Amino acid sequence: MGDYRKNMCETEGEELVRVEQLVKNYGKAGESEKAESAVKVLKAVDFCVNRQEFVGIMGKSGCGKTTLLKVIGLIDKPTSGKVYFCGKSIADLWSDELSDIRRQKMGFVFQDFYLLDSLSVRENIMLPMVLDKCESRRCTEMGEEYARKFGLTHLLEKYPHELSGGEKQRTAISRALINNPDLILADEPTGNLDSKSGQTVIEALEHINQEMGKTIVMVTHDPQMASHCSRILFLKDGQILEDLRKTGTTEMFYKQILEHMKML
Amino acid sequence: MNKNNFNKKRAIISFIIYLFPFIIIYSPLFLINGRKYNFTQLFFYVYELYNKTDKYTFTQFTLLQIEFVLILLFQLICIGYLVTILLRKNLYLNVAALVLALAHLFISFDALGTIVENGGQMILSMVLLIICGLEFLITKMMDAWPEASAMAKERSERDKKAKKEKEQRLYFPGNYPRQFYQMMWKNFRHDWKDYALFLTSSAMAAMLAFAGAGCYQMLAGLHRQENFLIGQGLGMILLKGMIPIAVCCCFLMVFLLIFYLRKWMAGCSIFMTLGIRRKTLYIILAVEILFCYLFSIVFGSISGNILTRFLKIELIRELGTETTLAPVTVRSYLIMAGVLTVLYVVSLMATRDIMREFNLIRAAARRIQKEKEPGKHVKLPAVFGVFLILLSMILYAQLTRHESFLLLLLCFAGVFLMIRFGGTWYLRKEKSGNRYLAKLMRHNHLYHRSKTISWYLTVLTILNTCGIFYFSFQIVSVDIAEEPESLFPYEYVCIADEEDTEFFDRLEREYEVETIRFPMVRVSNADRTEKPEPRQRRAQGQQIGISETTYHQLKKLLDPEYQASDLQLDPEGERIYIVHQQDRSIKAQPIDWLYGSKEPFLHIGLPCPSYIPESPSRAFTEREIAGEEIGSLIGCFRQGNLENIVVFSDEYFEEAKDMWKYTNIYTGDFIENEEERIEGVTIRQGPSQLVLICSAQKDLEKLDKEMQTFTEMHSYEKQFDSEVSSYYSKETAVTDMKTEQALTRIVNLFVFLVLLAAGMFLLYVKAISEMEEKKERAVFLKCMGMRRKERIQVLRGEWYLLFWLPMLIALVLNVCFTAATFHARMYSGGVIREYLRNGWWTLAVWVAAQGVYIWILGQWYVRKVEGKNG
Repeated sequence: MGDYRKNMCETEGEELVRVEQLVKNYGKAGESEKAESAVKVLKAVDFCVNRQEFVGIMGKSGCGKTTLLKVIGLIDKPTSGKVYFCGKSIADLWSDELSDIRRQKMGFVFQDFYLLDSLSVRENIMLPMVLDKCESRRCTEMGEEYARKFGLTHLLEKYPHELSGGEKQRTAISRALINNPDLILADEPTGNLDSKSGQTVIEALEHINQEMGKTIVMVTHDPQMASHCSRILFLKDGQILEDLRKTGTTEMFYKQILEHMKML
Repeated sequence: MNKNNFNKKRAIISFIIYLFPFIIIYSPLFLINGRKYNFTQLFFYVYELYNKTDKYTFTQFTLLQIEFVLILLFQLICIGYLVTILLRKNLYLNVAALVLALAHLFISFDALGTIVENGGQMILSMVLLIICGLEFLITKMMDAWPEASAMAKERSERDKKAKKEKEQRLYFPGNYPRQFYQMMWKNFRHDWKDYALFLTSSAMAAMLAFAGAGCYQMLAGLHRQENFLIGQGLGMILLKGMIPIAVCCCFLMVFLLIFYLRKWMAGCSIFMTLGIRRKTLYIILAVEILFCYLFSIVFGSISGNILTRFLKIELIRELGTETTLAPVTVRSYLIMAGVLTVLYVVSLMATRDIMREFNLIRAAARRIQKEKEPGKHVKLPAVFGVFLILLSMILYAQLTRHESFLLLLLCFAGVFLMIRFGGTWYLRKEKSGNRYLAKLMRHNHLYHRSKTISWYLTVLTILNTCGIFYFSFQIVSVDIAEEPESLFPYEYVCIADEEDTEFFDRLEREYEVETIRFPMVRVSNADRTEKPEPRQRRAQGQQIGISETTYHQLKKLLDPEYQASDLQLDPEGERIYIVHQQDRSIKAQPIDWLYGSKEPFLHIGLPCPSYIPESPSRAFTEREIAGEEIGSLIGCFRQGNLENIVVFSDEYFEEAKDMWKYTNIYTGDFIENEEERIEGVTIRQGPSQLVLICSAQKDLEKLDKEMQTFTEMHSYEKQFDSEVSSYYSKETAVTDMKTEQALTRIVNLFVFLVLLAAGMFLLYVKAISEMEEKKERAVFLKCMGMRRKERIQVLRGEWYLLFWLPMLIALVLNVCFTAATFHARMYSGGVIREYLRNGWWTLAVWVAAQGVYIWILGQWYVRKVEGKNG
């Protein structure tokens, strides 16, 4: 039933995502993921993400940050280990159920924006609602509301190639929020932006986390951006090196992050 | 169900079924000398004859004895089984009976099969086997039934539960809002250009299918015979032309579909990430493909009709304005729809498999990776490739290979190995040399995209070779073929016997007719096909056997200045001379194909229905070819496939004329017992006279009617082969030949143009599919400080490689295969010169069209990649 999914998270308490002994390999051309020669990206990772947390994932290039995000985002399947979303193991779900969860419970923000060039800003924002068979008028209303929230109203009829990087990313954030998801997954959302646009985007994400109560998992290289998170997972060679939690101010946390980055 | 009841039921069924073998064994099934016997009666009848006469051989009787013992044993086992059923015991005697029935099937063919006249042994064997098998299966099924039904019930309940759970978990009510459809439409329009390529190839396929079917319909009525199964007539000419077009279309459609789907999947990955249902995506794709299919049908009907009209004009020009072509009916539309459906099914299945096999769906969303190069050992495959090419050429030059297209495929396999592995060999050598860095950018794509480039080069080489050699040769050979009228020196050629003498005498008396009569014998060959066939299905051919003297006389009739020379034949008839009666446009072919043997297996007399080459019979003996020629001696009525001339020495021919008197008409074996040589029953003379009729034009109509009467007197000849006739008319043969030649020319020209267009299309697709990658590279190289001129040089080098290398290989192959075909078809120096005079234009058109096209496309490509001012 539709309600079964809608109510799935509310019944499971504070824990939103749990990862147990997660292993992810990539098989070489024509070979299995489980082959000896497969590239081992994630090696028995364990952690959990609670509701309303703003978790950052940091690490050097190739340490498995994006892979981890894709597995949490139900885009890639783990080679072994368990991933629980709202207390339910994703291994027990059919691919269409995973699609439903991605559509209704998750929002995605990517470094390269991932907008459809063929659709206008308005259409890009309301795309998740449209795919969820929402009523036409409600789609339009919600699309306009989120555009207003993120200062995109004057750009609604424009196409992605006519936007600046910051505008594109705000469009992507609007799109990620429109279905009121439980979890926002952001893969280096400020990576392609200048510092001013990056600041706007991170502030928007912070706002979403603190004011709207959304859980965010963000992959980033930038310690400045990471300092806005409430918790940082440092990844090295496919394993979690450190789980750092924010206790003081953003500036203090920034310094702590810089210290930890030296270990990577 | 109660077990006892169940066993009782099983026992009753087994009991009833096992009564049938006795009924069949004691039924009078076997016909000998007009009387029917049951098996036991037959055994004793044969036993008596074997002791008193020598009608049956020792082997036959011994085998019959074995069969008798088998049947006896079988009956005992059956009785035993019935008893065990009554005693409710299971000794598996039904399995033993089944094994015996199977053994009987094998032995009865050589035992009873050689004795009975009505094939009763087959009925006995098959019925015994079927009954035993049936009983075994039924009882097994009954044993397994309770368990199986319980399992089925359990499975059904499990499935029902799973279905219900699935429905609940995947419940997704409601309809998509109108924005969804608007978005999908916009997204589709965005990738429209890629879709248009697929649409174009599909629409072209439909147009060509319609034009092919239309042409066939227009011409079918003009031809004597249409038989796809035996490879005769216009249908076959058309099929031979349409198959490469269909393969070409299929290949292009798969290629474009993969290209389109990769882009489509890349676009759709956003929808998938955002959680669209897989089914919805598939429906969108299905709608796109269905639209393409329906559009192609409509477009094919309209444009195919227009093309057919042009072809009609061309056909009338070729055949003469007095020719009336049949109309194109709804059948052509149905054929087109059928062909297109098959093409779609094959293309979609191939695309699905290729995309799964090469993981292209995932690859579409990833960054482009370097393609895997061949392993360490590249020299051996490269040399093997060259070996395959040479082997295919040598075999192609042999008349016995039928100019098989399979040999060209062998050659293309060699070309691929040569390009893929030979190319890698060359590049590795270059890499280890001093000039590697100097050519780094120019040859980078060869390292980076080695696999793709190899495939492109191979496919373009195949298209070029097929275009400038295979199909061009068919076109030009029709142009240089003899005038049909010159290939039929006589108005009628009759394959007659002594009883027809009066008939021909009367014709001479009543009409202005001159008959020339020569003695002949019918010569059968063991296999008239071109490929291995099952034992029983091998079709025997029929040729005309004459003496050396007759051959020289016939030659003299054609050319009064002919000087007879010794044909080097022997009195034993082992050395023969063959005249392949066909025109120059027909492929080289042997008169007999038996396991591809170079020497023909021939039998003097009519075909023998019971003869099997694998049997010890020597009815068809291998003859040595002392000499052969291609051309017309009495008329190319069956274009080298049948009715060729086999010349024997005079001494052997005299002997051959009387061979029918002691040759079994079924097996072709020598009948030792003179009493068994019963004319019309075990022996038959067959044709003995070759009658050539020259007549005045005015009598032809009446003579046609006379010939109908003649045919009725020789109806038995058609029993073996409907293509073999008792008489052949020049007028019909000339019309048929003209029709065939016209269709051959048009179909092959058509294929030539389609292949040319396919090559161009392929190059265009390559250009646009790599455009983005090349643009990115251009920006990168620009940033790195590479000059525009140098960048363009690199780009052009990559681009023109696709022209000069496949063209060069194809030109070499063209020269070699053309020479091989000249050799196989025994073209004289004069004919070769005529061929070259007539054929140069196909090569020129192909090279020029490809060259100009690739230059224009290259200019466009460079401008697109580099921009106007860089």
